[in-house]
Amino acid sequence: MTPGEIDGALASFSESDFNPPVPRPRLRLTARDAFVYLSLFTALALSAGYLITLIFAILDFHLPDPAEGAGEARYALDQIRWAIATLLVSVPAFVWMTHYTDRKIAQEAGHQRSLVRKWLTYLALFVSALVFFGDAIYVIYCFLKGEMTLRFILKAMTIAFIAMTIFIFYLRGLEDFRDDR
Amino acid sequence: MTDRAFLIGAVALTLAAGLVGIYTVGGPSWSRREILDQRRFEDIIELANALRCWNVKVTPVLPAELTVESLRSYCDGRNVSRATLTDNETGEAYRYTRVSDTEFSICAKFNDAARAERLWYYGTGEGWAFNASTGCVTGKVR
Repeated sequence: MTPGEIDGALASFSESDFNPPVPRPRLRLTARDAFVYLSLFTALALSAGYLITLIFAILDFHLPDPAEGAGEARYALDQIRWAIATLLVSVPAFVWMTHYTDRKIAQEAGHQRSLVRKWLTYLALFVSALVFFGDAIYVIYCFLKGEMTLRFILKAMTIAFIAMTIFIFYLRGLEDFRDDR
Repeated sequence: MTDRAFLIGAVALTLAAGLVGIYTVGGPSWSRREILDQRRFEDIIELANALRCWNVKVTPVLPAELTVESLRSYCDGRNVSRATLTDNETGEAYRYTRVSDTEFSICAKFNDAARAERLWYYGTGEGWAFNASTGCVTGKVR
C-alpha cells in the first residue's frame, strides 16, 4: 500500500482513545432516501420557480410596458393561473416533506447522513448561487443599456431574494455533513 | 434562520403572492365572464371585417339590418354564422347601426370592455376601430 492509501484507510476511523478503533459515520444511500429527497428538492424547485413566475406575471400585468401588445396581458393572466395551480400543490408538498425529514433526523441522527441529501443540498446551493450571479450580471447589463424600469428592478430583486434565501437556508444544512467521508 | 422560520416565511410569501394573483385574474367566475367578453369581442370584429368591402368596383351600400341573409347578398357575398350575430350569453343580437351608406357601428354589452380591449385588441384594423367606453366597433365600408 502507498502512504496515501494508508493515510486514507486510517482516516476512516475517528480520532479517539477508545479501543477497538471506532469507524467514522458513513453516508448512507438508500432507495427510500432517494425518493424522499428527490421529491423534496423537486417540490422546492417547482415552488421557487413558480413563485418567481407568479410575481413576474403580476408585475407584467400591473406595470405594463407601453409597447406591450394584447398578447402580453393575456399571457400574464394565464401564467398567474398556472403558477397558482402549481404552488397550491408544490408548496404544501415541500413544507410537509421538509417537516417529515426534519422529524426523521430528530428521531435518528443517522438519517441526516444521506448521500442523496448531501448531493442535492450542494446542487441546490449551486443552482441558487448560479441564479443569483446570473441575476446580478443581467442587472448590470440592463443598467448599462439604460433599461432600468421599475418593473425590471422589482423582478431582479425578486430573483435575488428567493435565490439568496434558498442559498442561506441550505448553507446552514451543510453543518450536518461536516464529519462525513 | 431555523427551518420553521424559513417555512413560515415561504408560505406567507406564497400566500401573499397568490392572493394578489387571484385578485389580478379575478377568480373562476370572473375568468368565465372574461371568456364571454372575448367571444363578444371576436364576434363584433368578425362582423366589422365582414362589412368591409374593398374588393368590388362599386362601393356597396350597407345592409339595413345585420342578418345571415343580408350579409350573403352584401358585397361579393359574406358568410357569417348565426352564432356570430348574437351574444353567446344573453342570446341578444349585437346592436348594429347603419350610420350612413358606408359607415357602421356594431356594439356589444361587455362585462368589462376596457379589460377586453387590453386582452384582445391588437390595434385598429383596416377601416374599423374599437372604443372601450362604448363597447362598439365603428368602421367604414372602405
